[in-house]
Amino acid sequence: MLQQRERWNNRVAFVLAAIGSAAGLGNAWRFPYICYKNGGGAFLIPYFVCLLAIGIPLLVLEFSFGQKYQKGAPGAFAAIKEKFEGFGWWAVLSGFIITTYYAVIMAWVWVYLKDSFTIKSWGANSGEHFFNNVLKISESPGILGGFSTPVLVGLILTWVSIYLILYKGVGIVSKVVWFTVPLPVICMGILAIRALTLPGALEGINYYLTPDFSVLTNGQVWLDAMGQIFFTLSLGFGIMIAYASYMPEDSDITNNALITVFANSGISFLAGFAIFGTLGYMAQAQGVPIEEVVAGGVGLAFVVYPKAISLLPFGATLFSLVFFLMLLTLGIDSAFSIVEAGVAAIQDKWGVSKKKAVLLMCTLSFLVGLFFATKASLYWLDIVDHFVNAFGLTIAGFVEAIVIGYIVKAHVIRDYFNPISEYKFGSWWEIMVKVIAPVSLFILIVNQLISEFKEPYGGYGTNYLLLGGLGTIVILLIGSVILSRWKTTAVEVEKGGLVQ
Amino acid sequence: MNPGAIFMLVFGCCVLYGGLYITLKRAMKNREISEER
Repeated sequence: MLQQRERWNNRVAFVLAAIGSAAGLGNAWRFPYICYKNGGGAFLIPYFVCLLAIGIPLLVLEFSFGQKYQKGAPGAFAAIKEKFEGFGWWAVLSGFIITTYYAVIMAWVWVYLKDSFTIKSWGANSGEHFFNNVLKISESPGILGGFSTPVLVGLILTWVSIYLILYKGVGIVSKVVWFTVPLPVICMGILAIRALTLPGALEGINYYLTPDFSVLTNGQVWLDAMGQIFFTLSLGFGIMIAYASYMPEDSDITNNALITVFANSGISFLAGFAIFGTLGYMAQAQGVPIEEVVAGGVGLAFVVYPKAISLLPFGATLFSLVFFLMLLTLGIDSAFSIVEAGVAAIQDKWGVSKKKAVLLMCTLSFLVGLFFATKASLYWLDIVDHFVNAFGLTIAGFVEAIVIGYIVKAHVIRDYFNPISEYKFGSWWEIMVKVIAPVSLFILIVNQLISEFKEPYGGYGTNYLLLGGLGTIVILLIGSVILSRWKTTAVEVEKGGLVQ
Repeated sequence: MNPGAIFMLVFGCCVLYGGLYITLKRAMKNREISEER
């Protein structure tokens, strides 16, 4: 039986799905904060340099890799050399771990969507609301303390949504992304316009964009830019490889990558106005300097921003709904794209139906994710997230660049994508893939390793760091080896389709 | 807003939204050519 590989409905659907995957929660809560922390507007310079040197070359590499071999990450690596299959599983498993707790963050967003209707009552004590009412946080990572019911309900809602979006294949995803990609941008636009009409907003924007060019000589700023570019483009998960494998082999690559990159970074840039405009207003309303209210990550989304919204003279509920709807739609397409990377890998390897592969991935992720729905969730989520990002994804990206650059040979890939693409890339792309990207990622990994030994991450106990950090890396390693050595005899995988 | 922030605002918008506009325009043009064929 010849089973043709699934296809996106059209090119627009693929590009929207790639943008949706790249633009996630980090665009809203990480980029503006990192920009502010690293010299304001001056950070745009290392950011754009890294975009050109690492982001665009690696995204083109992943698109080409998936499209050329027509397989998910493990299958594409195996097509080069059977021994390399484990590298693909490493990337997919890193994504699997991330999706288990990413879905929990989505669960918090569901809870906050509901709580938006009562924001005036808890907004002033948003920290207490988040830690005590939503997370019901325990005293230490060692005390799991059972589940937080609202989070558990949110988690079920998240996984049911992901299953319903994915189980019928990329045809449905092609339609869903028409909704989940533009909607957060519209929400962000509404929040930015509202923010800019508030007193004190321009002061906030000044903090966001005023350049301090002296930071350009600071190595850490360049490292932050590299990390931001790498993580924001969903590189190293195998997502872009899986997504591109659903495109016909002669589709454009370079322009699709450029559109994805510009749209993703454009969303991050816009988010800064919504965030800093509101924080500027909040600082003025409370009569404190803006440094005292600025935050990034979970603290920004679930504590500081809701508090700022609750201070609005009118429409607090409406703007809270808009904000959390933005987070929900930003996050959901990133979450299902990670699951899809695993689904593609399972289908390529075992030839099971889409429905079964999606059900397996969603059920497994939900069950593992239950650990992050306990009252110690925030601690473990923080530890595991730190280590998977710092080592799991960067190592996957590093290996990809080395394998494509030196084993497949970068010029072979360039000779593949140039004739079918709207923009032709010169030999500079090969230099970026063979030298700049792997060297940059290697520096990132080494720098991270040094800082782990210098100071325990987040002040957590060594036992927790070993369990959550080293444990995660060991799971990735063992899992990759087992899955790559798992022999399948029933399914023979051929280029362009599955032959059963 | 101070002049430095305004400059970075214009710079960021030109690179990101300008880049997005140019790449989208190219994709649209390519689509028209494909349809004509």
